[in-house]
Amino acid sequence: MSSGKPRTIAYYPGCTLKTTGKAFEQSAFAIAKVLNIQMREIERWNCCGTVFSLTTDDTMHHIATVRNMIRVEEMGESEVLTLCSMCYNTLKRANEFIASDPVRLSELNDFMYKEELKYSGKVKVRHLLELLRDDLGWEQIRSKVTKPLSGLRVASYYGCALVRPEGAGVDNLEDPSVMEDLVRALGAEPVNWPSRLECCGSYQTLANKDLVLERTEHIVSSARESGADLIILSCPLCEFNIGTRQVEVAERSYGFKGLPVLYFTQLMGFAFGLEAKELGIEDEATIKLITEMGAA
Amino acid sequence: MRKPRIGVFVCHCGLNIAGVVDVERLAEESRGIPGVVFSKDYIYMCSEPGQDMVEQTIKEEKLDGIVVANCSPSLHEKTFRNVAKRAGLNPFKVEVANIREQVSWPHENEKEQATRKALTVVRETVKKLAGDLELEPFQIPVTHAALVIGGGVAGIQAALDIADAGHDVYLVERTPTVGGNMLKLSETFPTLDCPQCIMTPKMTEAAQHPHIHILAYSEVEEVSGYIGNFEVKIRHRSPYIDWSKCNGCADCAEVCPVVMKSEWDHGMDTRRAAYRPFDQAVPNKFTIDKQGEPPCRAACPVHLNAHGYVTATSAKEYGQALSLIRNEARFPFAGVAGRICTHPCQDACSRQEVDSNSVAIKHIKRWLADWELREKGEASMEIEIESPSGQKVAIVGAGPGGLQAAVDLRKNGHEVIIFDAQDKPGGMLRAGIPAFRLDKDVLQKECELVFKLGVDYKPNTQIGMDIPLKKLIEDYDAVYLCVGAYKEGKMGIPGEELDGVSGGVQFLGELNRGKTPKLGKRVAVVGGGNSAMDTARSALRLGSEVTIIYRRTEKEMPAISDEIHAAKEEGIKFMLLTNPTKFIGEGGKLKSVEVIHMKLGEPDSSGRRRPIPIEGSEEILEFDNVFLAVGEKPDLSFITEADNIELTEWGTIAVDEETLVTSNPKVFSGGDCVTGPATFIDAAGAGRKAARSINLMLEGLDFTRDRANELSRKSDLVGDKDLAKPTPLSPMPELAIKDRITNFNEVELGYSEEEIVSQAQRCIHCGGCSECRLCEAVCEPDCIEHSLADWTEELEVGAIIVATGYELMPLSQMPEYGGGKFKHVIDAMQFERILCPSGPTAGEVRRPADGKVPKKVAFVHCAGSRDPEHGVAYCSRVCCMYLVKQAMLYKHAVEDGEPYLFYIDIRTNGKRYEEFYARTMEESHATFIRGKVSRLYEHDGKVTVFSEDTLAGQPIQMEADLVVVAPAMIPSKGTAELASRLRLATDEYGWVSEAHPKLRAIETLTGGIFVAGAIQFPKDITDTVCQASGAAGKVLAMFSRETLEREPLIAEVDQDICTGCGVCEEVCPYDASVVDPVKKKAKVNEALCEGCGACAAACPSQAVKLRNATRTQLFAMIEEATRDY
Repeated sequence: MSSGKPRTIAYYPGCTLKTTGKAFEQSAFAIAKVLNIQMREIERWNCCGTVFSLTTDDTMHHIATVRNMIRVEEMGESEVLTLCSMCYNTLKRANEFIASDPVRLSELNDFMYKEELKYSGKVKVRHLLELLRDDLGWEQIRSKVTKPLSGLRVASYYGCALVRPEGAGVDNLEDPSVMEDLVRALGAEPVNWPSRLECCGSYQTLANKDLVLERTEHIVSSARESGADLIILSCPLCEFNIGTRQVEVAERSYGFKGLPVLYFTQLMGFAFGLEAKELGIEDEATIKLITEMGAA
Repeated sequence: MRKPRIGVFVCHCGLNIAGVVDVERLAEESRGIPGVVFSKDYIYMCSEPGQDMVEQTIKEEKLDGIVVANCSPSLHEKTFRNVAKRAGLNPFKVEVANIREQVSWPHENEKEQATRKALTVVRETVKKLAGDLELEPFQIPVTHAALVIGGGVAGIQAALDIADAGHDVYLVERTPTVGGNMLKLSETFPTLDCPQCIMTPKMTEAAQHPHIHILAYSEVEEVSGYIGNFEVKIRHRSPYIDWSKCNGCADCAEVCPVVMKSEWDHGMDTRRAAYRPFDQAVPNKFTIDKQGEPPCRAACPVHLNAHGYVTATSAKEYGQALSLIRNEARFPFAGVAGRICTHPCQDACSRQEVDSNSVAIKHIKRWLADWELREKGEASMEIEIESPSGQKVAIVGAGPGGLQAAVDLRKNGHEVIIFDAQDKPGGMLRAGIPAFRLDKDVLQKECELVFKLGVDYKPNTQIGMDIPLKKLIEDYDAVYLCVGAYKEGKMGIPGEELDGVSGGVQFLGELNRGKTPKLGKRVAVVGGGNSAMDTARSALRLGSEVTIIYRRTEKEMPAISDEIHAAKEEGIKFMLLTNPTKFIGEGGKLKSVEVIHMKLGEPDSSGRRRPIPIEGSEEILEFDNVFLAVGEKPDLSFITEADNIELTEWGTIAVDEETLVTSNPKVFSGGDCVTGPATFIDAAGAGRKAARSINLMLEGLDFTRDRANELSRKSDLVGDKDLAKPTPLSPMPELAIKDRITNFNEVELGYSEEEIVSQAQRCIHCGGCSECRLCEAVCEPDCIEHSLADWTEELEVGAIIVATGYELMPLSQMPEYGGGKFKHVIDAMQFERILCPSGPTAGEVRRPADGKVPKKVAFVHCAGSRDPEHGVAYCSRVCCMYLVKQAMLYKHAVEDGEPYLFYIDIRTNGKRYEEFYARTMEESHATFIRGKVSRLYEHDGKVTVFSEDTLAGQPIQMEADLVVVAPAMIPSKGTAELASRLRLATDEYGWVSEAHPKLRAIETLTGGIFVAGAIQFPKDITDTVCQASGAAGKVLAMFSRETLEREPLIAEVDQDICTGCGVCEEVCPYDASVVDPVKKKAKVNEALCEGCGACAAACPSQAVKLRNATRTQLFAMIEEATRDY
């Protein structure tokens, strides 16, 4: 465990991380502790607005973001950390949309007349992957690995919200490498596979489940054919679609073979020598796979 | 004053104007404008009957000014000025009221308002006309010679056309050959002519033309002047070969060992650093590619050309390699440095970026020196000594610094004498370095090389005792002090005087003088530097058990890692984080040592972490002998106050760092006596630096100027890592441990010849040419000049044609297509080379990465083009056609091959282009799929293409053996800089802007400068050649006259009002307005001024006015336009 003053940062969870994505949050806190990062959860946070509004006069979506940013400034923080790719995408884009135009900013602040603080427009929205790469660096991550995951072949799945559009993403939108670099730092082997940037079907999971099942089958099979032992990702919705939905794919597709799907924080936790239950992993087969591989 | 008689002529422009504006009413109402005596409308005023009507009316009505209400003045102002001239009216009494672009087009749905606006425009124009002066154009002379920039097909065509008319043309080309992109193509659409067949004759014609001067490997550095009278400065890049003598025989390229990627074959083949881009190059000359100083050479304190001797070694030219060290660099110590140098060159070596290990430069140097001794029995150094200067220099100390200084001073013809206290030369090399690391025979031979140059050597002479320093200073013209640092450091703890406690250097010195000091069984060495390691390893060889005691950790040890490693290997114990506190004796003899254990604290001034004693951790250890190797100091007792040489507070000699002069202007000093204990190569470097100072001083020159960074420099050059040979660094063969710890034989045995060559071939040739000079030996016309510098040439020309062409957007900007990392994804120009009989595969279609014949090739249209996300919204215009052609040629070459073309739209807009496309579909059976490729994915030697078929509405996925991408065409590198030098405008993509997109597509906005070919916008060869001939025609039209007429509508400065503030000078885009520094008044150069009016608007005192667009006129117009009526 690192000594010295921890790196503090405001933390915005978003709704899914308190419900179906609990394991993501739990594992993120666990690895943050190892890395001496103190994630300070925002009090009274509200919905991010889900899905950045492409309509410029759609004030309501931006109000949600501004309100969250005011909360961050109330804490005396200048950066806010997100885990969920979708929250990251919405907050980052909305925040830049607001902050880039003083008129828009003051207009939105006027809506918030009941708030004690006016939003300055200066908060930076960060994703945990960015923080790991840019602020800590892979060397430091590597130095915390106690159980190198050697032999484990990991497919990194980016989906859409983490890298798109250009400028809002954490990495090059056509050829990102942040998760592969992380995988390497953990001692595992990143898999080169074609479907890492494809869409999981996103919200179609509600209205058009068949489409999502098709996507899931395609993405998971593609990873498997490329030799992956498991998939990592950073979005609870992607996790639901290509993780949880695998059961339904197996029911309708004869011969479909699934793959474990983990949040990148869970994989980091394993490499840092943390216990499965600290990381919110319950699936025995997954635990067995990683522990055996890591030991090899 | 006579009443004005103005005529108004309203043009219908067919329905363009008349469809919106009530032209008849406009003509009628115009007659009511004060001053207007005549008005008329007509369907096409610019037509011949229209012009005749205007001409007649001017004459009949005796008009003294006319307003033509029609289209933009950029179209027909000139037309009607000519009409006026024919009718005897001053052409500058013609004004255009633009009622098309500014009225009828933007207001097509507001007819009534449009008519009223048109009337307003006419009325204000009448107001302006009232203020117009009758001006006369002025004449400027024309220089009848042209400059063509860019040696591609456009430049060559334009040059030929102008030269054929009998005018001189200077054809400037940046690369060593003309030919441009066209020459690289396999065949051209739609006729399948081979460019080599249709282009090389043109190149030869240009080369042999008496009026064409090809300036290859040159760039335009500066352009001044104006239309008809340009002054151009050309910078010729040095080809390091005298082209006036080069006969193109290729002997230099045949011996050149430096392999580089060929630009001609787009990296798919290699060339040498001495090269000709291709066999038919024009001019048929060779060029040596030198990009700068490689890191190894820059880092060396004596500037040995490591790159050079490594390269010569790789070609088995050992004599030449050694000559670069001894004769070129005047460095005698090849064998010494090859054994014990701390090699800053290797630390800087860029090969480390390939496989973490540098090239074994040190070992190569040693091998060369050993090879000479083995082959010839003696060492050699041949230096031409200049004629005697009559001046004398004394050097005190025969260490590496003194000897190196002696060589450099002797070369300049000075009489040099070295005084040394020891009986043999070498200084610390002899006294301090044990024989198992440095063969003393090698040292002796290399020291003698110096004496053979005629350097006088006085051993056993101690300055201060035998000769006072003062006498040296008096008797000699300069003195160099390099006496080293021999005084052992003390720890300042109890018991240091005990028998058994002594200095490491003293011990090593005794050993090296052939004595064998008697040691006890248990020996401790205190310290972590090279002296400590040498002392410990020597003591071990005398049969003792040795422990090194060091107060920090191994990481902080100053000794080189090889020595630490060897010491450990040989069985020396390391007690780290430990320091002696007391030496305990019995009867005056050492019995034991009290030590204390340490921990590391915060970093100190040296950046190393400071050791802190742990209280209560003291311990007593038994030792028979302790050697202190804790840093030596110079013994400077020979310097007296009368010598006027200042010392530092650390007891070293104070010098000026850059010149090494001491406070006595005749005395210089360097090496360990200045820096404290340092390395062999630093001492030699100091000797070299001091010698340069002394040489300059003795010549009577100022030796203090430009001396910064003279020795170790930094260079970031990295060679081509793709071309790195996979050979790993091989370990140095060494004596087995058991065979070395009982004697003082050299531990390192040296490489074999085979090994040394393959090790030398690991070099990746940072910066191109290594200056190994092998080419010099074989060049029959003797034209290689490695020191030839760039030179400039000044030309006077009347016109300039810019034809610098295009390049392809690099694949690295397209991560979705692999970003250049996929082996089987290439760009279209690479595929052209593959299809070309003169290409890397001699026309056989093979994949560049593995030589396999691709059976399925996917062609990707619009890669970057028509794609604002990549910054290019335009269509590159030629890609459709060349991909169609490539598909056809591919089918010709690989009969069972399957070409697939993924396109958005197929554009075949040229003569016989569509037919060609049809042939490719019908006869070559190429498959066309309408859909943009979204992504490529390379795996297992194949590339998966992800796309869609928009006609079928289906996603598509296919496996291809090879993917050919057609990237967007972008302006060639350096266009922005060139445009700013020529004061040309460029568009948002960087293409050079033409004066008018339709009617003046060859002229630029700067008079006398024309544009031809793809630098204006992507175009095919046909269009390029047409535009080039067009540009040549424009130039010839200029050259058909002795003088040019310039419009007088330019700015002028009222000298009475001007305050000389210089604002006009700042805003003028044509450098036409200049403030006279003496008169403090601005003046406008009539030939340069383009009449833009920026100065008139900016002038704070209203001293500048634009003729016929004065402030008074403009305000009158505004007043008229805003008046209610």
